[in-house]
This record gives sequence, structure tokens and C-alpha cells, in this order.
Amino acid sequence: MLNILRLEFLLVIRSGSHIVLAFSFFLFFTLLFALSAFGDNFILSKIGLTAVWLSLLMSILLTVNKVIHEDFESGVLDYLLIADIPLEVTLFCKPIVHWVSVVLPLIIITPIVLITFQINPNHIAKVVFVLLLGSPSLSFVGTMISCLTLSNRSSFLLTTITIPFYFPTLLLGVFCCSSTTTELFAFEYLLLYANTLFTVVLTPYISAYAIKLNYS
Amino acid sequence: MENRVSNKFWKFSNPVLFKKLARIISPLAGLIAILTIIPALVWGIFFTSPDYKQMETVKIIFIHVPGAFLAINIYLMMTIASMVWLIRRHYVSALAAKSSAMIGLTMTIVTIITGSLWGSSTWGTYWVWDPRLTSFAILLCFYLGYILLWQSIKSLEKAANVTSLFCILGSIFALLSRYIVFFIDQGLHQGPTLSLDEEKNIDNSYYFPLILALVGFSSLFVYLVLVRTTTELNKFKLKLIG
Repeated sequence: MLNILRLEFLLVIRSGSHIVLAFSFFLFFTLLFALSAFGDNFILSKIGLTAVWLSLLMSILLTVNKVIHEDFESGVLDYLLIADIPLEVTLFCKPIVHWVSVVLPLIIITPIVLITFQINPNHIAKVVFVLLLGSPSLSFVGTMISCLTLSNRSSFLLTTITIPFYFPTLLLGVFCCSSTTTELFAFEYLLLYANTLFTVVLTPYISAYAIKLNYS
Repeated sequence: MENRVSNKFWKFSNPVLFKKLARIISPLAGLIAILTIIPALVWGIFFTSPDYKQMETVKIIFIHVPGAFLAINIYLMMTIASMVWLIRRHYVSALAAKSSAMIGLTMTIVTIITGSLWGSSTWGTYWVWDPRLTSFAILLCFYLGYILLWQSIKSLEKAANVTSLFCILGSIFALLSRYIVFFIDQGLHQGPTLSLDEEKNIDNSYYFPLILALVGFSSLFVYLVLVRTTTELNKFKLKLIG
């Protein structure tokens, strides 16, 4: 497992173009939201959380096809299928690498974005915390759906059919960010953790099954 | 005994036997549909008294409720058919799931349109982001995704594999989002009309035509799904021949 993680990280570092792409996309997309509010501070603070979540979601959607589809096209996936390591482990590592390389940098700059959206600075730590705990599920679900669409690798199709699977996380994420409780084990937070754990634990198995279905 | 019954059931996974059965059942189902939908709608629309608050608009219920009932249960049926395909690999079940998706999509759209017309007269707005309305929007997304996925993959076997998994996952995620939406907001929409708890149900003068309409819509679905599945089977056969 550590070998796979190291290999994937090396690959990402050496061909890191889509990290910069996701980073810029995130900034531009939040800028679009900010510009469409015409500098009205009230509207900005209202849409800030939604804007951050949606931008994060869109940048994940646009990069998640790199996780599996490129391996499939270059033939690496065939080797991973017959390798000694179980496919589930590989498919557990790949979203983790995707999350660390693409999503984590975005979460790190969200405080700056949120300040420009006139969000109360006391509130920002909680939002970042919710993003950190909620977003892994987006990477894992995205990887699962991209395993499902190996037979037709158009990124437009992948984006379209992944969106419905992001509803639970998006709903819970935005709801938790905007809820006023400070307690970390309030019911909505527990739902968010449950959602993340559910997807992180189960999607590697489903992705492996989907890949086998596509090869049969 | 049980074994024999299950053998009798699974024998219809043979396309030829299935088509034979469909040829017998589908005219019957179509006849039942005609004989129940028309009387139910005539009875419901012309021979029931208007509601004291909603006046005549309450009669939308005779299309709205059967549509919603079918839209949800067709997805359930597709999930079961997909499981049958993934476990036992019968082409009939995969193609039945494929052909019922379009009917389910139509029923969802019918429910949304009649519901919004009803809402415009009783709530004063065509659409609110109420949990029930939102869950139908989510259901619409999953139907559309399912149909898109079928159309985007050429090989029948691969498409059936992929869409079956999509359907099963979709049912899980649709339920998840539905309950999350219900947790966030309780909403405007009234509670269940036809629950098993009789205290909550509507008045008998509406109840009987509604049940008749439900039976009619369900048999209409049976008729349509049998015809469409037979067509799909024939298409598949033609593809195999040439």
C-alpha cells in the first residue's frame, strides 16, 4: 500500500499540471461568484459558503477523470489488475492521493477566499474543519463513478452522471457550514462524518467491482 | 415445492418463453388499464364533490398520486431487475430495466408538472424547495443519468453491467439525499395520502377512485414495459443476426 501511495505521489509531482489547473479553476470559479454579487457585502456573505463548496465540487469533478481514465488509456490499469496488490487497496490509495494533491491545496486557500466573501473570521476555522472532513467523500465517489464509466471516457458524461451522487455530501456540507452550533458532535456533524466514513470505506470495493465489470 | 415454483419463475428468463408470456399478458394488462383509468378519471373528475378549501383543483390527485407512486416504484423495480442481471445475468431483466427507465422518467415528469399546477393554485407558487419536491428533482436526475449511461455505451453487455451498478448505487444515494433533505427542512407538502394508518387517509369518496386510478396506472405500466421489453429483445436478436 505504501508503495502504491509513493508511486502515485511521484507521478502526481512529476506531471503536476492538473494541480495548477484545479487551483486556478477554483480561484476563477469563486471569482465568478464574487463578481456576480456586484460587491454587495450582504449577498457575498450569504453565498460565500455555497460558492466555496460548489467551486471545490467543480474542481474535483474536472480533475477526477485523471485518476482512473488516464491509467486505463495508458494500460497501467491492466497491470494493476494482475498485480499482487488487491485492486481495492489501489483504489483506496488513488482517491487519497487525489485528495491530498488536488483538494488539500484548495482547502488551504479557502480562508483567504472566505475573507474576501466577508465571512466572519471566527466562523472560518469551522468551515475549514467541515471542508476537511466532508471533501474526502467527494474524491472517493468521483473515483467510483469514473471506474463505472471506463467504457465511455468522455469527461462530459462523467461530470454529468457524477453530479447526482454529490447531492448528499453537498447538502450536508453546506448545512453543517451554515449551522450555528459550536459543538463538534452535534447531529448534523455526526451525519457528515457518517457520510464520509460510509463512502471512504465502501467505494473502493464498489470501484474494484465496477472495473471488473468493465473488463468482462 | 418451493424449488418447483422458483424454477417456474426463472424459466421466463428464457427470451422465447418470456415473449410468449408477454403476448398473453400485455393485451390483458392493456385492457385492464383502459377499463380502469377511464372510469377512475371520469368518476374522480365528474362524480366527486369538490374540496371545501381547494375546490376543483383537488382532482389533480387522480393523476398526481398514481404518477408519484409509479415513479418511485419503477426505480425500485429497476434496482431489483439490475440485481437480477448482476447475479443471474438474464438478458430479459437487463432489458426490462432499460425499457422501464423511460416510463419512470415520464411518470416523474408527469408528477412534477401536475404537482406544480396544483401548487400554483393552493400554495400560490409553482415550485418550492420542499423536501418532497426536491426528492423528485433528485429522482429525475438519477433517471436521466441512467438513460444517458445506456445511450453512451454501445456494447449491450457492458452497458447492462454499468447501468445496473449505477441503478443500485443510485437508489442508495437517492435515498440518502432524500432523508438528508427531510432532516434539513420539513416543508409545505402534506403527509402521505395512502398510508396503512387509516386515520390519516382521505375521505372514502376520493379513496375508491384513487385506488382505481392506481390500479389502472400500474397495469398501464405493466403493458408498456412488456411491449417495450419485447421490442428490445427483438432488436437485440436482430443485432445478433446481422
